[in-house]
Amino acid sequence: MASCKQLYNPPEIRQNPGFLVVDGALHVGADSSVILLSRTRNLDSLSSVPESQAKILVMDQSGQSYPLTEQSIGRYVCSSLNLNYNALYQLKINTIDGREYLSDTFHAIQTPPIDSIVWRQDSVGVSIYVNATGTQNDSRYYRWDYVETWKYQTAFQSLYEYVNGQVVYRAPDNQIYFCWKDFASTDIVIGSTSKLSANVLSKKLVAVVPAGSEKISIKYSINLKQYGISKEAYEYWQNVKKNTEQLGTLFDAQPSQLTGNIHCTTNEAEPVIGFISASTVQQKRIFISNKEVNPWYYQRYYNDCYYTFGDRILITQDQAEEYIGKPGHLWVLIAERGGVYDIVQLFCGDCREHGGVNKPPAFWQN
Amino acid sequence: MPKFCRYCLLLCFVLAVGFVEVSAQDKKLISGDFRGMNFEQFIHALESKSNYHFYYNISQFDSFTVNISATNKTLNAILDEAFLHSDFHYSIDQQNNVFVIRRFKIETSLPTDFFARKKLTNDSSKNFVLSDNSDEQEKQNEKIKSALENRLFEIGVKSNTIKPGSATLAGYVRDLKTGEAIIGAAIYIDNPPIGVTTDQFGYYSFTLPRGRHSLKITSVGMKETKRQIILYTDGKLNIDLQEFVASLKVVTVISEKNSNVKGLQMGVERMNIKTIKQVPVVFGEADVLRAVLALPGVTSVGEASTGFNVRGGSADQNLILFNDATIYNPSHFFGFFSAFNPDVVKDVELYKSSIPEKYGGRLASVLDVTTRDGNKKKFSGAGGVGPLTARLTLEGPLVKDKTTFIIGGRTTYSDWLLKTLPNKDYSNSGASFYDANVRISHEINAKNNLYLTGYISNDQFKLNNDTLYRYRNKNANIKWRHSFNNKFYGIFTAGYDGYEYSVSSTANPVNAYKLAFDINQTNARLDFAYAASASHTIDFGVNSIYYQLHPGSFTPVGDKSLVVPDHVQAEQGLESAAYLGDKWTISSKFSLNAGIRYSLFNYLGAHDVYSYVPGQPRTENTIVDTTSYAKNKNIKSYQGPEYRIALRYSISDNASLKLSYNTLRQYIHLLSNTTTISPTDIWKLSDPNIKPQTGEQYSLGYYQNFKSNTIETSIEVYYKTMLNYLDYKSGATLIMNHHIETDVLTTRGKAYGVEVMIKKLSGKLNGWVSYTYSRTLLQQDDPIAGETINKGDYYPANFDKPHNVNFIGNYKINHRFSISLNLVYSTGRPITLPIAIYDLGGSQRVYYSDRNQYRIPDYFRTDLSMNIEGNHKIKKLKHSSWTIGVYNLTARKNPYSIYFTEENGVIKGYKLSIFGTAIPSITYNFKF
Repeated sequence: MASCKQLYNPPEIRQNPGFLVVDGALHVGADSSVILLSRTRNLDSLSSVPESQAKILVMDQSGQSYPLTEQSIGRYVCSSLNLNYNALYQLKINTIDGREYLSDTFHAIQTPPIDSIVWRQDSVGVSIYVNATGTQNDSRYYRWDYVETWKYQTAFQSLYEYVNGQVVYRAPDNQIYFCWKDFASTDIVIGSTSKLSANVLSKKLVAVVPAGSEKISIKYSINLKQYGISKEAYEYWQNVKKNTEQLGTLFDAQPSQLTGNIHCTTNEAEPVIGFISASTVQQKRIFISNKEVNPWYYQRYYNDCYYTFGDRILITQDQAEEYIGKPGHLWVLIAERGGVYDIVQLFCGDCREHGGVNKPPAFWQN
Repeated sequence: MPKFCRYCLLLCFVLAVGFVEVSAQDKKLISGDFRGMNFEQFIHALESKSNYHFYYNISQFDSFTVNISATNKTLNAILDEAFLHSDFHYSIDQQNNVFVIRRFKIETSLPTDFFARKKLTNDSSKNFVLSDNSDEQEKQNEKIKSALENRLFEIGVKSNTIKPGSATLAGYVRDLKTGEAIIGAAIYIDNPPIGVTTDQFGYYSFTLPRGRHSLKITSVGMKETKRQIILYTDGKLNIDLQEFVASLKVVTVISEKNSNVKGLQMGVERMNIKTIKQVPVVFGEADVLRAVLALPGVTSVGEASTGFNVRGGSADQNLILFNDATIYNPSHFFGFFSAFNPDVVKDVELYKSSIPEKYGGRLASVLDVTTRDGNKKKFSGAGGVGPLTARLTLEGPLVKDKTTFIIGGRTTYSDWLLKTLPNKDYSNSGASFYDANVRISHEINAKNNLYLTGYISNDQFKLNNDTLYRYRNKNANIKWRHSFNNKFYGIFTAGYDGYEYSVSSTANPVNAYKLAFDINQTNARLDFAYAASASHTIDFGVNSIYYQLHPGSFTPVGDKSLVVPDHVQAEQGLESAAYLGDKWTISSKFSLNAGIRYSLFNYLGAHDVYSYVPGQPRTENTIVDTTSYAKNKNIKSYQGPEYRIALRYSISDNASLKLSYNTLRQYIHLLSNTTTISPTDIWKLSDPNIKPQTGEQYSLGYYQNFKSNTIETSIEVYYKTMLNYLDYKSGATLIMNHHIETDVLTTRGKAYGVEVMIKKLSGKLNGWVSYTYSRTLLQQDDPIAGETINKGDYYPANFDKPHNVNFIGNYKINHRFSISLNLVYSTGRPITLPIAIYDLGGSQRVYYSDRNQYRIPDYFRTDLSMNIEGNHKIKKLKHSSWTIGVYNLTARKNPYSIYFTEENGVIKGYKLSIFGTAIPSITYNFKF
């Protein structure tokens, strides 16, 4: 039973069929609807292949249509869509190569509100659950995505700045000791109450913060968005999940071909990837601070800064320009006394080096 | 005339003595039924029927029961038979005094050189032959053997002239030591070259020309023996065989002599438990299924898979019989152990091409696992302790020579293993299993035997302290065997077989649920065998299985649970069949086995059946009508003939050519959307929307034996087609689906291959090497499926592994020490690989190729095991042995699967190995 997994790179397979990928959803009301158009690419290709200059229309049965416009390459947006819950809609895409794609008809779905987001700590980490209650008439199928935001710090607090040869106090809005990072969900999170007598979602697991993660080193926040989806959409996402996330067990499902609700009308045999649906968005945010979780054995990324000889040095005023004055400098001033500058490596003194931004997002509560 | 008279008297005396001796030892025949008598009653009976006087010490015989009857037999023959398995000896002197004594033999006459020798008279012990130590015991057995081999058995009603024509000799072949029936022993004569093999009860019925013959009896692992007979009319002859203990000095050649070449069956593999125990295994537990996997034509998807694939059949196309009980899940613990306790298993037969007409209901093979009957002679036991499992078996007579029992159990303590795994997912997990067997055999009288068998196996595992999985096999049956006469016997079997699983989770009280599935079958069968003549043996019978399945129930657990109880409607079906087969020896060169089986399946109410728009893909939207059927109402019938034909042509004494054609039908399907069979897969009966699977197979084989049949070689080719095999639509839901027909597709399959095998089953070095080339291709041909797999082209099945090489070798260094080596090579199994990436739902995803267009790397494994026995004193209280083994000696990381998964938004490919390292094990086995 000593099972073991190793990284595996398959023999070079270059059969990229270049199918159209429609990623996104339509949102009723003031939440903007975003659709990303791209093409499948080779396995070893790192960057995505966006599909530009396509025309995307949401059409109702009466002939009225609402366009999504290309905001950046491959990203098509409509800032507000006023869809009627009783009407049927279709999505139409015309690509630059002259092909036309049409979705099956779909309803816009009214999403039940999120009752609460709760969490629980165990040996695995912090698990975050959602509770929601819908009416009997609401959709029994749900999909979620979320954005996590967290505050973290670096090793040394820089109270001074070296500006134009002068040592000045660092302004609060220019601090680089605390930063904020965010991360959008990558897993497909879906759920259903179809087997329950009431449309009650109880403690549905949506996200896990692994034990010791930097995310709760100071304070963590998650903003969860909930979408009602159709049964067909649920089945589609379930399949995507089975095909790409739930593998590596003893009893893996066989990979299957995915059939979404968008078809190429120009060439019926051409597969199109993606499932388009429309719904209102319900969202809720919670915060979890480090004080609430205990104990949190966080392995600090900057630990070495305290121990590694050479990460923190003292220099004289003469050397200051060389170390911390030039553009692209690699050191940060943390203190100065009597012409001796106490400097540390950027990594140890500037939290932005670790990927975050040094200003809190608007929603942040300290 | 006094002198004359003296001489005359002396002469008379001499003559009289001579006459008495002759009549006592050769002429005076005794008849009588002595069965059930104690020793004193037996002696009185003999004394009353003759003029012998017996001398004995009654205290030595207080537990002795006689179990023989005699018709016109000499006293020697009667006593030989009565004392056959005992350590009693008798001597008859010239005055008709019979001395019966335990352990020693009294010499009734002085040695011829008695007077030539001096000073011996005081040493009375010299008059006894000590037969206490094992060497002497061995010699004694040899004596019995040679005495039996040289004695002429007169069978039937004696007549002065032997009538022309044939007569039938029947009886049991048993183990001398334990009284256990020997299955598959070959009984044959050389002229004409005909023979039979014993059935599952050790019974044989051999029709041969009247007259004098030398019967030869051979069986794997037993000493070859012979019997001299004169066959007057039909009669009985029971034959006891001695276990073959390989000796260093004398290498006796044994084999299932010629049965490979001479038997009619083709594509049948038989292994006894000794062979199975020689196959090195993981965790030190002899494993029936792993030994089966070493046979040509048998593959599995991977190391952790339940079940096996025979000649391109799927795992659910094997009928697995355990003492005639159908086992639906033959595995424990994710498939790492087979569900059969090696201490109770006697032997295993796998039919891959010519499947006897009495079996049916599955397309690919029949695996017949037989357990031992309990020891008839004495109470004994066996057991073992390994790294993960412990087992104990007890057996013995309930009524000596009449009723025996064997009871065995196994359990595991494998939790510690899961705890040591680095993966946190398993550290809070637990797994356990047990199985138990019981078998009681009762001999009502010479013509009637009764067998009771029970089996239960239970598995449960819990992953991460949350979801509990449990599955269980339950089987019980009763078998009554009745011999009408020498040529004709019948067996009546009735039984219940069940399999169930459940998954439950109570971690969240609101969603707490239990998902359950079960299948129950009640079956009854009547099988008859009639040895019509020397050239015809006829089998016929009827059987019926009533199925009841609960395809799924989803129920709340606890008061707080909001789960709505949901039950998929129960399914009922009746599968019945009648068969008739004839083994016909056309000439000494040709023989034919022709069988027909007619099977009928009724899908029965109560059930609601959906009908769909004709000619359109079946979906929930194309349901046009629902018909409700009442209880036991016939909803749909399927029926058809199945042909089983095998032909043998003997090219020479050592070579033969065989041809076979088989058709089969299967009315029950396993629904599994995973690559390997998982314990939570469900079974489904054929219904109005799901047709039965049918298959046919052609095979051709050439068999040749070398070196006086000690080396067997064979080559077999086969071609096979299957219809209505189930596959699944993309994203099919199999669990709790009220209309499964909307999620399945039917496919057709074809399989073909060549199997080459070289086998040496005797000598210090024994084992086999086999090579198999096989392909299994499927094609989705359902015109109304609504979607196609690989555009409707043929694609390889999951278990399509073209090249397979197996080597199993066992070398006996001495009596106490042997080494086994197992080498396995096979082509990697097919997989579906991603051919492109795309971004969807915040992450990279993969786009898969057509199904099964690539293969995982080849599989290669070496296992080694050593068996160390304690000393071989026969009279020891307890015999013990140690098995030390290493599974996957080279620690090769054989891939089980390759998969691509998204991690933090990026696609990564992984190779998963299950036994990625060498796994040592040590097991202690004992016997008492």
